[in-house]
Amino acid sequence: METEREREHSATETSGERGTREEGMRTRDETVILRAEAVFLCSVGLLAAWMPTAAALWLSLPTSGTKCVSEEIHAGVVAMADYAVIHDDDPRNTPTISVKVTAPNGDTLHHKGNITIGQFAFTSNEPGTYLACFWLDGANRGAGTSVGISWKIGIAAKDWESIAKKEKIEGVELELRKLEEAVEVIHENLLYLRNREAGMRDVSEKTNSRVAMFSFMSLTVCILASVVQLWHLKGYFHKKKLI
Amino acid sequence: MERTRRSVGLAEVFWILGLLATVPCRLSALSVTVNDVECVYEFVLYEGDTVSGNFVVVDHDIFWSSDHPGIDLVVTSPAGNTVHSLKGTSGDKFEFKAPRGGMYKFCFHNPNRTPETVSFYIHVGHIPNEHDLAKDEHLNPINVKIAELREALESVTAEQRYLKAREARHRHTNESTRRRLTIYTLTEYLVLACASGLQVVYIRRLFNKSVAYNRV
Repeated sequence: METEREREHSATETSGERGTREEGMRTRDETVILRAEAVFLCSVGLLAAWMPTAAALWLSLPTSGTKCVSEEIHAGVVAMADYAVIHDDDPRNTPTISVKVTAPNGDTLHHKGNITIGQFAFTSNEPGTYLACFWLDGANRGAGTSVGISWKIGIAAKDWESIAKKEKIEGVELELRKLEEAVEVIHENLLYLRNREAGMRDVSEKTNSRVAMFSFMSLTVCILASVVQLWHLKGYFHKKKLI
Repeated sequence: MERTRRSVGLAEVFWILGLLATVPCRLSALSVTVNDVECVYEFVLYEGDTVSGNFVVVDHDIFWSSDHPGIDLVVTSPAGNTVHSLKGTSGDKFEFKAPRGGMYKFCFHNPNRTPETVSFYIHVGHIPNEHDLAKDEHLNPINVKIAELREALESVTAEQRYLKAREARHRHTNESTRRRLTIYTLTEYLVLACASGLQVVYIRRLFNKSVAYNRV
């Protein structure tokens, strides 16, 4: 995959930029390390670029009780989310909310109370359902409010600005890089679906053979029970000298 | 040479940011538990954007298959009229062209008392048209093609999410079948053994000495 990228990169360059091409090759090795660091850069960048009315999913919080959203995530996937309370009528009297993010094994990944805006990011250690719960703080119950969430996992959580800056790629090339990443994600998803389908096929076939086996066993047990009954009762009636 | 390239790179970064701001591509793929009505709001920036998505009812403990007729989805535009509606399905895809920009409301209705978990995915895609090209001098026709390509890849990803969610639901059903099979078979054997034992005990009691002289 790395050599293909290098070939693509060299094809789009002119002959007068060989010096920067070598530099591009060196920075590409760093990109692998930088992608992991992008998570930390994201939290700063996203907070600066946060526009709650433009790029978010809104949920209405009930006056009492919690509203939870969850997603099933594989292991080793970067997840990032920004949330903000939507203040509609009174900017001074914005209700505050509390947030709690839990991993499938029960660990709390993020827990904050009495806030109106925030963000969290985590890398999933194990596959499972990751849950993010929101609820209104005690003092603010009475009026329902909305919270805007921008939830991104995997490729959508990538910080393309820093990658573009580090690798000094721009415009069409950056867009094509993004599309290439999207295609890789599609390929990975296909492999995942194929593996899951294979596992489910095994379970189905096992269940199918078990149905046959248990039906035969059930018939055998039934016949055996009646035979034992008859034998026992015959012996009992012989003993009682009734037959 | 290197210095010029670096200064050009900085200007291009701002251009990229501008490009990113003009071609929105938002992804929301989450699961919510629907008790009665659960509404989700998504903002559509431009009129004419294609809003596509899918939803699957994932977690269900249906005992009999007639227990749950499915959930309804109603999409309301900012003006208040229904743009799209789906009734009584356990999962489906939807796609419509937004008649105007604004906040769209996606409501899931659960006609039953049992809460259901719905995994949904909504994507708002925008392809710059000639009007955008004329307005913004940074856009050129290649951006239109890239946007179309991106939307096509997005539809593939959306389809994959749908398949993933349906696979999760199928997996629940399969494992429930396996569990039911084991438990019901063991219960069946137990009940059979107990029934035949009780039968024998009862017949023995019928022919018991103290009872026999009086009755049989």
